[in-house]
Amino acid sequence: MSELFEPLLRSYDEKRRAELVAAYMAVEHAAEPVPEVRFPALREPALRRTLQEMLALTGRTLVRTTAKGGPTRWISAYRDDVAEALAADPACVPPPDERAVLTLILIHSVAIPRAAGLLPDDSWLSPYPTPLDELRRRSQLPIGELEAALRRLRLAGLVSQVKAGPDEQGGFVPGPQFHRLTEAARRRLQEELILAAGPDSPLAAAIRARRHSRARAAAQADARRAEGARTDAGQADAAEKTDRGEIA
Amino acid sequence: MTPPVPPEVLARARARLLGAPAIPVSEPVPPGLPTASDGSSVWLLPPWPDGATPALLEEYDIAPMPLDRPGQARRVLAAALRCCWTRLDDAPWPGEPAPVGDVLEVYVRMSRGDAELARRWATGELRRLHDTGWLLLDEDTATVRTGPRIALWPEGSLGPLRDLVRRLPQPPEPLPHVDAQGGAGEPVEDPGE
Amino acid sequence: MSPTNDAPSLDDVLVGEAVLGVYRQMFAALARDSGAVVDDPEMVDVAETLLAAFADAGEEGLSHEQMRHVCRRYPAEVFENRLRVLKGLGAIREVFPKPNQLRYRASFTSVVGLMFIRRMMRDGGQSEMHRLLALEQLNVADPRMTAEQAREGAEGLARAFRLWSVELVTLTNGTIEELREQAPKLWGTEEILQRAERLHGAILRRWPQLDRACTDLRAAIYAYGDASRRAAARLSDSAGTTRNLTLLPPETWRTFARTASREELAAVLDGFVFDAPAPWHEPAAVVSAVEDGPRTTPPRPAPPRPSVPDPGLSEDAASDDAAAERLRDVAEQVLRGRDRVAVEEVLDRDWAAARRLLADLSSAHLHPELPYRLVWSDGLACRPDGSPTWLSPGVFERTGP
Repeated sequence: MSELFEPLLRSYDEKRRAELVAAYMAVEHAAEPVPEVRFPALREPALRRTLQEMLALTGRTLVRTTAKGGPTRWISAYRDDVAEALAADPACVPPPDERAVLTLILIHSVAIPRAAGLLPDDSWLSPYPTPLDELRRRSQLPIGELEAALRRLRLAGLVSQVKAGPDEQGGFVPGPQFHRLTEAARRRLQEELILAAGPDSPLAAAIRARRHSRARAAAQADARRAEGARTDAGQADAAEKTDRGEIA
Repeated sequence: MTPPVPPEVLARARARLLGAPAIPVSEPVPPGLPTASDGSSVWLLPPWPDGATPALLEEYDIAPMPLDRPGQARRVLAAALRCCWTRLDDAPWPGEPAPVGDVLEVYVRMSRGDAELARRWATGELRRLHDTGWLLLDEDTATVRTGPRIALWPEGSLGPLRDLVRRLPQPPEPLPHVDAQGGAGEPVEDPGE
Repeated sequence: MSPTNDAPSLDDVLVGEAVLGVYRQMFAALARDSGAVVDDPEMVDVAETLLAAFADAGEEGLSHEQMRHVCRRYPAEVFENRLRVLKGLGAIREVFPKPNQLRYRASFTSVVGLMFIRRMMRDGGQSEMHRLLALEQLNVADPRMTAEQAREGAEGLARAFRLWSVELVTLTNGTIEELREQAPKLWGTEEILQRAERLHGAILRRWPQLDRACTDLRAAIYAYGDASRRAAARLSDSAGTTRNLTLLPPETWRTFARTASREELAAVLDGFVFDAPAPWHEPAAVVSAVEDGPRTTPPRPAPPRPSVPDPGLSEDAASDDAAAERLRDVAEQVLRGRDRVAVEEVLDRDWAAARRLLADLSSAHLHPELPYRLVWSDGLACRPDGSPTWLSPGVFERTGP
């Protein structure tokens, strides 16, 4: 069907090839990270490298997650440089009302339970629903936009609805799409929230300082390259590289 | 900084991000992406290796992205296919446009319970199927046709679906031709009792 | 140790006793007996309960029985023990308004002390420091303030900032978990540092002779700012992609969520991109959805076709909403402000209407976005003269807002 992957797959025998295709489809379409024990192409480093190359052809990368004591799992996400380039295109960015609702859900379902010491795993998913009432009555969002935004966010897997049980309140939690963020993206999300909610906090100051010095280092690296100095792109920003080193 | 992203890689990533975006036929297709065309537009489709589809997840017992009311969505899709996939020997894409009213009518005849409610829920479902590229809904002319994602169905998997669509209730005859609807024993079949 | 110089005068002793008296009252609520601090937080609750009751009682004070009554949920011996300690430390005094009448009054200082302690527990002294700085700023502007008082104030603040820095530096060199837990109580916000610097400037302008104390204060403020930044930098470099969210208190998060504009909220996700919804419908899944789905029972004549092709898709832009809203209306009419209602109560009407209503309630129950639920219990009640003639006991209830 598609010729795109042929150069990468050609050298493999039928069995290996099928394993690569299975792992590719699984990490690209699963709701949750898939356990590596189930897929030889995730388990074996050489095959995983090819899988990573297949994903790279469409601007994707593997993300590893290991919950406390759990097995290693993998899922795919946009590479950080690709996400950054896409985000510059207004057609690719969710509209403000959806982003605003999503931010509220991240605060109520993740940031607040996290600040209260209720979340054990370092994840953007959470079992603590944001009540609809909190969104409807105690935020500055126009009610008219709210329901439509929530519907679109649910359709896209960005939020999930939790139905009320006998004792607990229902509401909305971050959806399975939040598995599909690289470590650098998840870290940046944390930083953006801290910068927005606590701009005066020492942590926000530290984040700003760190970004500033990185931007300066990057600018210097660019300048060096412009001067014709043969800088190895790999050393230009070592920190950035470790951030993207999802599959080391 | 890191080297810029190659344009064809960015174009493929963009196609995934937007679903199945349409471009004018005159524009170049990013290399490596399969397409579906209806003559005036080209839709960019995901490049799956070796004819695989996400149905493969089921073999490995891996859950796909969750979907609200999948049964209802698929029944509405079936009703739309009944109206838009008129030449069943051909592929379902690009199919024929059909009035939304016909699709709703077929859906109502397929389902049980409050017809008005069924029509409403089916309308919402049509919109979601449009948003996800399974149907193309033209709200101005109130017509619907099959969407570009349908072109991703491998021919080999279509057999049972053809049989099903044949057995579904027929869309109502166009008004000008018939003066009394549902006249002499319109063949409303009970699908697969 | 010359006895002539070191022997305290009577005045010294009296001042010392007065100071100790205030100390005792301030911390009476925390005292286990007159020599040690409580080891059970409930004992502070008893004190708080008592002090609150005194505030309500006014100048009459309380009798022993009244005090026992407000503390009735605590065991008698706990109550008596607390009362003894509070009395011993002067937080509660005995008064005799009339001969043979024993009443009790509470000390204002103890209440203030308790408020202070509760606040210290919440944020480790951050807000106390804010208040202290604001207060000192007022004092500095007060014409009655002496240079000596200003010097004492500056020295006290310098000492507090130094101690904070020492704790922060120690933590910064310790484990990341402990730093993460303790830092928010210790580190200084930009605002505290700016306030402290303003105060420093004000003291120096009014009393240039205090330059040494001021230099000390300034050094302490800088050291504290530096320690805060270092702690923050270590945390922001630490591993983890959500763990630092704990560094802002829940109240800060809540305030932001409730007061931020749509644009401010949306800006948080600037630069993030997400997949379009792309569910997969396998042909076989379409087939089984139809075959397993609810279907028409008997073939029946087609309903008359509406004369207008479709009642306007575009105007009907929220048909899902419309259906949901109608169901919500029906549900609310049935509930009439209550949270639950017995099904047989609302179905007590002619069967056709009851059946329609029941269908709506079931739809509301099944609708994923509506906060209602139908719960049936086992059993079937026959009602030969009722309509409907049989009923399963059940309730229709609200499950959320």
